[in-house]
Amino acid sequence: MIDVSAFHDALGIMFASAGSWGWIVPGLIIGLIFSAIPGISITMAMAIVLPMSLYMDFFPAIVFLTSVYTGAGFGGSVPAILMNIPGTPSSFATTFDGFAMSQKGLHNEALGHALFASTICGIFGYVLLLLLIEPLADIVLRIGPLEMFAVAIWGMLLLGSLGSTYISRGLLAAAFGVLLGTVGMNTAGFTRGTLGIPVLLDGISPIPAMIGLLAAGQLLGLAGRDYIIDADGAREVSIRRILAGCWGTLKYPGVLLRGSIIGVVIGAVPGVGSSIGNLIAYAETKRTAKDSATFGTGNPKGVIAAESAVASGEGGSMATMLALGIPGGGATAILIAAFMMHNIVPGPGLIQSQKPMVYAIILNNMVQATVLLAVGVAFIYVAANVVKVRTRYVLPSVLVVATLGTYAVTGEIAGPITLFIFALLGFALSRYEYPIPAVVVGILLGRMLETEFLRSYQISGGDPLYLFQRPGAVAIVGVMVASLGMTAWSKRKQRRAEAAEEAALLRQLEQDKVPAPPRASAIKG
Amino acid sequence: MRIGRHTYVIEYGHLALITLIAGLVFWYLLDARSVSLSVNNLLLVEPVSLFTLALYAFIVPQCFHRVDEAEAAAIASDQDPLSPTAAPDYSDLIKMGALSVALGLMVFLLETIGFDIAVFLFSAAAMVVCGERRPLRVLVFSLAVTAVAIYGFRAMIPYPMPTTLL
Amino acid sequence: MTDFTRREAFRLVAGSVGVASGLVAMPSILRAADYPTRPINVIVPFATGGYNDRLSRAFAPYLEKELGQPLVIVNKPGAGTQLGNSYALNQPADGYSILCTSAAPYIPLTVLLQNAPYKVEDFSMLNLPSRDYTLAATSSDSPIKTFAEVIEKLQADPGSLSIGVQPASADYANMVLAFQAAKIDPSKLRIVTYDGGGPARNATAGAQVDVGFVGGEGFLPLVSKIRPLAIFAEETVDWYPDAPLIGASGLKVDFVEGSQRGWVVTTKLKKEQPEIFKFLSGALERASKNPKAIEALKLQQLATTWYGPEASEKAYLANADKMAKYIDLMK
Repeated sequence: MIDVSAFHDALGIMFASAGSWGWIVPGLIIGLIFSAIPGISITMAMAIVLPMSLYMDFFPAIVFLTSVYTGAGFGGSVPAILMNIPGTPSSFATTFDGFAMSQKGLHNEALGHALFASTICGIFGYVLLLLLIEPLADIVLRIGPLEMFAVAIWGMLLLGSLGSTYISRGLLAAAFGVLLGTVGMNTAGFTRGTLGIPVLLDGISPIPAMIGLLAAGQLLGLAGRDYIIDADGAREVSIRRILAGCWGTLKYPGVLLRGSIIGVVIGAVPGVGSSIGNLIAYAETKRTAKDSATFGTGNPKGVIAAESAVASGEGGSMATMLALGIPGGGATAILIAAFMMHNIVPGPGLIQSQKPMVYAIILNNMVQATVLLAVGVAFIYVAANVVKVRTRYVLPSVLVVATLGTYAVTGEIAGPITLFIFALLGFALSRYEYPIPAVVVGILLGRMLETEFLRSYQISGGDPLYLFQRPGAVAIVGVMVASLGMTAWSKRKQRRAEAAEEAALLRQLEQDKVPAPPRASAIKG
Repeated sequence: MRIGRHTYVIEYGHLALITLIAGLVFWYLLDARSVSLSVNNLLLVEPVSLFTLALYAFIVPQCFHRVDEAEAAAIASDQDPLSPTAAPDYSDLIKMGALSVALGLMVFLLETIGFDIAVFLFSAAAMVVCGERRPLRVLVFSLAVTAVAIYGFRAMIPYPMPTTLL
Repeated sequence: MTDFTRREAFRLVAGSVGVASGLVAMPSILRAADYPTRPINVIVPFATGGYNDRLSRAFAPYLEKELGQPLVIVNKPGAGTQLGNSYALNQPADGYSILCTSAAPYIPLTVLLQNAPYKVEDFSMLNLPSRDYTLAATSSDSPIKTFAEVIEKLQADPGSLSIGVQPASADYANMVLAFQAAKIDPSKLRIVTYDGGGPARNATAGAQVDVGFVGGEGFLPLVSKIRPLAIFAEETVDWYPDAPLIGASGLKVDFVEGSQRGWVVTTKLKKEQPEIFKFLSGALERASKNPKAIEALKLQQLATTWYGPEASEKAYLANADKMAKYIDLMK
């Protein structure tokens, strides 16, 4: 699993170039700031700092770039929690409970949870990577379209946990979202629904659409308030409470572990990115939680689950990059370029020939995640002050940044226009109780659903028995069904237990001749 | 809205919204089918479109319902921030509307009058909508937002941003 | 043979969303002696991180030295380079906007398949250092050892092997041409479509598909995970000498060359400002021959070969002609 002598050499490399550690903090800060701005991607941050690293030695250059990458993995959750704007699709699930928490005045704790979940699971992801980098790389290449389709379906199951008053409206919202996600040229080269507009060939840009939909629901509604958080006493920014939030994260080891495993595995698959891992981690955590009814209303476990998957996903995609030389996304493509600049070519050969260097890079990533704790607390402390500013200042600036951010996604005015159209759509949908997150999930996953479904169909020649030639897909479907079944079973048991408890209580009350509370428990259930 | 108990009302807005969605989906299906009838094209789009249209038929009756039911639904959804509803307060709705209009104007004017001027005008308008009435503060803060946004983004993104003055 | 009709109706639509073709005449009277006096924009019609983006950023310092002005990399991704190309045509022909792009196959493809509102001849090549070729490959642990085996199996049963390829690409045309030459009906093949070279390569290396047809250069990091079966080139490719040529498989087959990437300007600039065009090509030539540049780019597996405007233009037009000839195969 781990090569001891190479590990030793790796420590040597780490300490021999201790000067390169100085690049960690600036890198983290750049990453945090870039990713906290919606629309500005990690890729962009890295493309811009890449030329700087040209003039550095190899190890400092990589330390610097990976620090940007590590910092950027967390930054997106800050606007998600404070303002319900996910900086990237990967912090979408963080908004569910994160924003709800901050609306209750628990923003300090929510940010603390997110930071700690992010760093712990980031480190955990890298530990897994250190142990499993070689087998993981081989598994990643074996993941085919059918497995990916199963994963996408799993992501869609999140819809089941988005409590909505009307099931039919939730389904309509999701189906509409999926269709919106398939606009443009599909993987087989057919172009649909573009009205002849060239930008739409690539489909509806998901980030502007997502920000637009969410902004309409909450952001514009802030216009009537004086501050983002309504309650007067709640607008406190306190290091103590942030740290308490950090510490409180450790109370949920199960949530952290599950989130990390989901994150690493999905993050390792090239091309999927982290936009789906957080959804699955959130849905699984909610489904298996005893207090699942409070998810979406500010349950810390929701924040922790989402963030843990995002952070550990970085380890996964780093594994794919180092072991296979395949970029999981734009950011890792830039890292590969940086490696090549120093005559080091990531790929299967790298691990054989440069194992100490690979270990040193992974170890340094762990150091970065640890440093992120300190830098992150400071960053949160500064950013959280936004709750103390009156909305008349916050709202104009945030909307300007969001609009320019959607322009920054592709450098097209189409971004802001998408933002606006989807803001109107979101307003109308939320007015009639259509769950906005269902539309967003549909848009995020629609293209992947179609692409992978189509490829599975093409490979199998339309034969449904193909499923049984793919043990991986069978396993994913099995885990999914088992998870659903077990939840249903335990929920049923729980309901029965509750009913029995209630009956016992009622009997007790009758015996004590105290009038029973008038059906309060029935309404709650 | 309060017409009385057991009175059936029609939610025209809701009806219009879902009819719009169904219309779009129907058009999308036709557009996709006009490109090609190949399975490679319609594998997902056709079944999902038909499913959406079926849901439309199922939801339409929900637009005609009793008032007390609507109230119950509104209360239930207020407790769930995942399906946010519009603020019921009338003045808040006007503010939201004004802000949306300002946002729309900014978006469509960004390239014609330049990013700098559009951002400045939007920022000033949004501040006024949110309750700031002191002209000096509106002016100074909007200028600051514009400068920081334009110079900041120009440093961060690899795309051109057409501006008029900055 | 080739029909590059401008689609007027399409242009109206495109124009209304602000990407009309660049015919906004700007009579700029420039003396070459004054050029350049301000930073020059390099338009890359791809997102950050791709080959052209990396090429432009890595080469920029050396080109800046020759031009005497800084270069600003401007990414304009979208619609298979159509957005970036239209943007470039919309800029004044004053030499302050140059393109770094995969001229072939994307310019001809957008014209032929997407009715892009410009012509292949609207662009002029300065230098196209990077040449890529379609590679037919299989996973390294596949039982298939040669391209002849593939042909044999498919002749017996066209559905026996799954084939991974990007639709509407030169690779797709080459795949169809090869199988047609072997008398295999392409419509009966089990074709799996990928929307990009990267996913198609991963699927090939991971044995998701039995055979992949995809640009060969991107395979270099994965070279130990694949077995090359045939490369669609005339002569041995210097960056992948192990790959057998398609000619060696025994098939007599015409093919389309793969990507040609490098430095491009608008034809308007070349015609109206020949001095600037000459200056740019001179600067590019000197930078491309700078030993430091060659060394630095080689480390990133980026090409610096100097072919010059004439040879590059010729290669580009030949490629575009072939594309037009075989366009029906790509649909």
